[in-house]
Amino acid sequence: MKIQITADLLDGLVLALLDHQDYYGYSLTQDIQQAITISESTMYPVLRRLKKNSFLTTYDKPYQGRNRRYYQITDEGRKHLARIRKMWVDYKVSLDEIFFKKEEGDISG
Amino acid sequence: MDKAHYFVELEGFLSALTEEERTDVIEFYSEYVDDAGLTSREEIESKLGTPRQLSRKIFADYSIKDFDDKASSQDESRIAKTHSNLKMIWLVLLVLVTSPITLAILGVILAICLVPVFVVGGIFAGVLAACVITFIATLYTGLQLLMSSAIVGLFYIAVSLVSLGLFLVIFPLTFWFFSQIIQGIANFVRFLYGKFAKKKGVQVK
Repeated sequence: MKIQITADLLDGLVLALLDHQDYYGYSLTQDIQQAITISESTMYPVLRRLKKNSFLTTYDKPYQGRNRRYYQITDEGRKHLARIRKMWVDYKVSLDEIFFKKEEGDISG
Repeated sequence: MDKAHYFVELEGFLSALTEEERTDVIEFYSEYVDDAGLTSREEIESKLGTPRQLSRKIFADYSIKDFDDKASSQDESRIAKTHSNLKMIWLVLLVLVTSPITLAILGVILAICLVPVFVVGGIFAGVLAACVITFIATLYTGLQLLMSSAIVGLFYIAVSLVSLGLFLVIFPLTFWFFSQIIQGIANFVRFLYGKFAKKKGVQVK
């Protein structure tokens, strides 16, 4: 069974990775795929949307006689990441309350 | 060679995008193919799909986003909006058609969408046609009778003017109604696409 992820969370995961280092398209897709299954054509619209909202910028670096486009998080992007992190924590806490609910009168609880 | 062919084909399918958008998306996937070490046509298609499939995905994403942008701007005229809605419905249908699973339920969805459009459209067309025919017939009769029997002639002319008035009221109403229906179908299709894209695209391991 697989749990579906929302577009907001995917944005958050991309920004969280970019918060540590700059990525190029393929390496970013690879790292996201470590955690979740996404098709190869999912990443482009996400990056395009994040760039349009000024959450990231791009720069080009030559690599083996061709270009590699790197993605870099902006200050706006870090603020957005903080918002998504908070949203995720709130969500997780409220779900965990139900998933791991202790029986009433449970001494160990 | 395979890679060059693939991207020439892809570019051919993307002619509806602006030059800048096209270059950007081609560069992204070209770089992706190089970094992933995909060389043969089979390898590229196993990751990205055929050029046609990839172009449809790109288009669906573009038009869904443009649709969102446009829906939020209030000053846009209804006709332009209806056009962009129709375009979006069409593109999303194309995406759905490429997947055999959804192909089966597509007929049902189409029927559900189209039956009320045809039924109500038929009613509107019927009423409009009745108005026009009544207008012409009673005006003609009224003018003919005006000389021999003025009162009856005037009555017929009055009836013709009433049907003209009805026509003028119902005609814009028809347009309004159809733009509402198309908007409704667009929202529905967008909702379906959202479900479909989520199921297909992004899943937690």
